[in-house]
Amino acid sequence: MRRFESDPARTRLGLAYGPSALAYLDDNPDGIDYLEIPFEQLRHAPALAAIRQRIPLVLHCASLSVAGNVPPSAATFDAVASVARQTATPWIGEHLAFIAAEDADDPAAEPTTLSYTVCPQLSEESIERVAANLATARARLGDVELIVENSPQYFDVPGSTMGMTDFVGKVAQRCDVGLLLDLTHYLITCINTGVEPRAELERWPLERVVEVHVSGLSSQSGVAWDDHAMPAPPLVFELLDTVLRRVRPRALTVEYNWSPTFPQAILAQHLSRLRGALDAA
Amino acid sequence: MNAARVHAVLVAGVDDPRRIAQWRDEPAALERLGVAPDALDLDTLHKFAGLAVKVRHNNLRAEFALSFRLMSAAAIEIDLFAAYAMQRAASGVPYAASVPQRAADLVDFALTWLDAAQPAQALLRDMLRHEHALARLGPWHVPAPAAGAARAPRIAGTAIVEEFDCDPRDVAAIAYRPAPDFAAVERGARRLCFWRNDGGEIAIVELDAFGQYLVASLDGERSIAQLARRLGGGRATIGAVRRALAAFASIGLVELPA
Repeated sequence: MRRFESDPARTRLGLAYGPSALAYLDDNPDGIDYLEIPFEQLRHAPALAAIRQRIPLVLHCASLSVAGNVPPSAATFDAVASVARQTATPWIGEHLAFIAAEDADDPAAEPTTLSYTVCPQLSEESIERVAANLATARARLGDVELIVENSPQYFDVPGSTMGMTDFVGKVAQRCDVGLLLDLTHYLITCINTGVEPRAELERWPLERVVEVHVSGLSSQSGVAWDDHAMPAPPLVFELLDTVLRRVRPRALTVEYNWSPTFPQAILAQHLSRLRGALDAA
Repeated sequence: MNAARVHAVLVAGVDDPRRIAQWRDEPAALERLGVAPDALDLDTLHKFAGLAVKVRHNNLRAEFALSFRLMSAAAIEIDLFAAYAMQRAASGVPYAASVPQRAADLVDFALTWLDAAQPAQALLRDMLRHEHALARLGPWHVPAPAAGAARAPRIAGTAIVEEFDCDPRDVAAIAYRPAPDFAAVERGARRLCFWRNDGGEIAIVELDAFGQYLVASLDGERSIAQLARRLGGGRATIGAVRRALAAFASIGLVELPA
């Protein structure tokens, strides 16, 4: 069984689990350092964990709803803890978002759960909610570290009193939590909220960043959207260079995992470019 | 605005986009839920619901790689899936659990939603049917029960006949260019027979209008004379049908009675 070994002097380079990542791994057994795998896939197909014999795993999660008001079930907490032990993940990267909410018409009714995470209201109230939820999660999940990932913001969430950068910064400070900086989510948020991404990055709490995500985006109907079937645009690479000039994250994950036909040539080219950026930093 | 109420409204809208349409028509209904109508961009919330549905269909990408590529290049993925989310919510039928059925549902919807007058959307209509036919004959093929001896002309294996406005195979050549020029794809009626023989091999046979009609009419029951009558002809038509069937039989597409 392989285990992710952190090295303060070296950022590990990995791929998000998916058919194109597995194809790349088959052709390049030493081409990446780890696979990032979603808890939700392991929960429904536990046999996938056997891949740990080939390569270390890092656990990603979209089930803890840390910015929401509806907590996950005890069974979900137990399953996350179990999968974390099974994979020997160095941390769990969870979205700074929510997937469930009370029924809009009847708060006493069963909550509604989505299959996709939603950007929360960016407010002091949400920060306190995240703090409470992270405290609960930490107690339920044991020793494994939780880090939180910035959401892509597609529209102004009603009641928000701050922007994403301030929200993430305050969460990090209030909760003493590490960050998963998704540079594409970050860029999407900047585009959709009219913020200049290069200048805004100077305000980001980069010293908290444990892991970085890189993926693609698409612009449709006047909005920038997360798109893991597309290659990352040049600006994401530029932003990464800025991040690497200031900090040394423990891991850099490329998320080209929505399409099994993602071109292997582009995948290899981008990994090579990222490896070069890490070596140069 | 209370975060719990705001989150509840967002989730309600994504879960059932008809709510978004209702709030658009009746802003007071949104206000009653605790959200100021002018504080929420309902159009983008609806599109976000489309993104969530699009991601739920990622498991179709292996068989519909070019269709998704065309959707992306034409920048209509989000609008298409947002409209689909609305349609599914209105139907009250959950998304199918099986991948083939989920694909069939999406293709059915897309063929009604896409505008054939728009070049990129017309190509996408063709590509969806092209890839769907290949998937149904390939990984999703369900073998038919073994048939006895042929009593009338019939397809040897399984065939799907589709008529297109272009040759979808030509679209593959340009689909991955940075800025595909969809208008450059040669247009014109193309009739393709997607055929899986009894050995599991898949071929695409191009047909003329006569061949398309004839192949589509083969049901293993109609005799050559009956097929000719369906074509509205007399003795001369029988001869043409016989010659066409012999040609199809020579490549193995059609099995003739002994």
